[in-house]
Amino acid sequence: MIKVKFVVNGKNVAVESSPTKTLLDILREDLGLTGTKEGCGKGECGACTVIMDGKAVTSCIVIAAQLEGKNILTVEGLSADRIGKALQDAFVDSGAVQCGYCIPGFLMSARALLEENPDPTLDEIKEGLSGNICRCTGYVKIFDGVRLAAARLGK
Amino acid sequence: MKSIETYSPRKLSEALRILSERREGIRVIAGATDIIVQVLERKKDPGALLNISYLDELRFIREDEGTVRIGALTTHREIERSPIIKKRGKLLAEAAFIVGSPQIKNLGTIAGNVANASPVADVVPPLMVLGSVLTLKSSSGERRIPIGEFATGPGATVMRPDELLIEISFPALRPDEISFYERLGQRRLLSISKVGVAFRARCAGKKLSDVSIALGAVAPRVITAPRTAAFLEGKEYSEEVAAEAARIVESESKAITDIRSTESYRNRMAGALLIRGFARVFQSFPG
Repeated sequence: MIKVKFVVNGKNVAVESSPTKTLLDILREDLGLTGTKEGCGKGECGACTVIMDGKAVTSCIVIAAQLEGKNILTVEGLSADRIGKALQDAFVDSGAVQCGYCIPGFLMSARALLEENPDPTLDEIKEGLSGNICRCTGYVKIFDGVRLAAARLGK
Repeated sequence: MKSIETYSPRKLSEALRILSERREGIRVIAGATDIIVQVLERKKDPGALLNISYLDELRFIREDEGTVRIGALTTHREIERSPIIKKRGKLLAEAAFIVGSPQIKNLGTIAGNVANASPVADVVPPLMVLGSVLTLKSSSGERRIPIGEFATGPGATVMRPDELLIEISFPALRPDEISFYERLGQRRLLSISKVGVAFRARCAGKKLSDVSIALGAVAPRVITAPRTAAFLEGKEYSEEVAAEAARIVESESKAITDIRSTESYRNRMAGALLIRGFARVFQSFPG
């Protein structure tokens, strides 16, 4: 077992864990933050995406041993975040959500994208969200949601 | 799942000491995108893990006197966006872009991709034609070897168990050099390459010299195409020259049939990608 200290949604946390326990499992089991979902469990579908030190990563393949000092933002922290809140509202207004399982991951990838590129083209949105899979929507309304958020934030 | 002994040193010297003491039965992880999946699926028991992700001294991209130096922990996303790489090793930025999703590119490191010694690693053919040198360090010393001598087969390299790949460097591309990386996968993004072709040469007008070509995913390791390069040496680019070069490169490609593609398709596509790359470069190249 190892002890790691890091920051989640602005709060300091300390977790005792097996070194290979995934960030996804730590968030859900140790910290009770169940908004982050497991899809494939091997870094391919993007459902578990969180932001680590400003960058979107798949939390299912980040392990405890790598977390010391890291700053993590999860979907639970989005409503207190200017870009995150705009994305949440825009996804609702655009009807971007169907079953909803993939949406926390999409929101986090979109948050990383808009932070870096506040006015992305459709192609840039597609590239930014290329690591997230949705099996319901066909993506069109998700892209609409990101564009709407970007437009509102730019005003 | 049983707990795997994991070392997370904060200094390179400490990491090298652990490697020299443990030698066998320890796997190095940085971004860990490949190994962690294998560990979590219990496909592999790595014995112990050496987590080098805290060695911030290995995170850099810089240009020193015409040489581009990339630290081992530099991620694919950092390479794809680096102004230095875009200018001085553009085809490497192109290859880093298609390696995977943004999330994976934010985690996976260039040294991890190279050290994994996969014949389909997209960054390796560009690094080969750029003439890259790998710096391997151990507690007893340091050696530099050309990337073409590094991998010996899928997952196998000449690196000793006590060594760590700490830096990748190559001569910065000059304004009179042209280069490209073209690859074919099931999808444009997020797919493993069926074939990859990297090209670099000096170009005066349309006359090619100092030609270097490397092929990914068509042999047990990334290979060069010396006969094609020799054919192109001193020739002026034309569609006819490109077509003949494509025929030669198809014969140098040593593909196999597997789940992703067939031998004959891969070999043919090595030629097609060479033609495609030339067309892309010479459309925009003045002269």
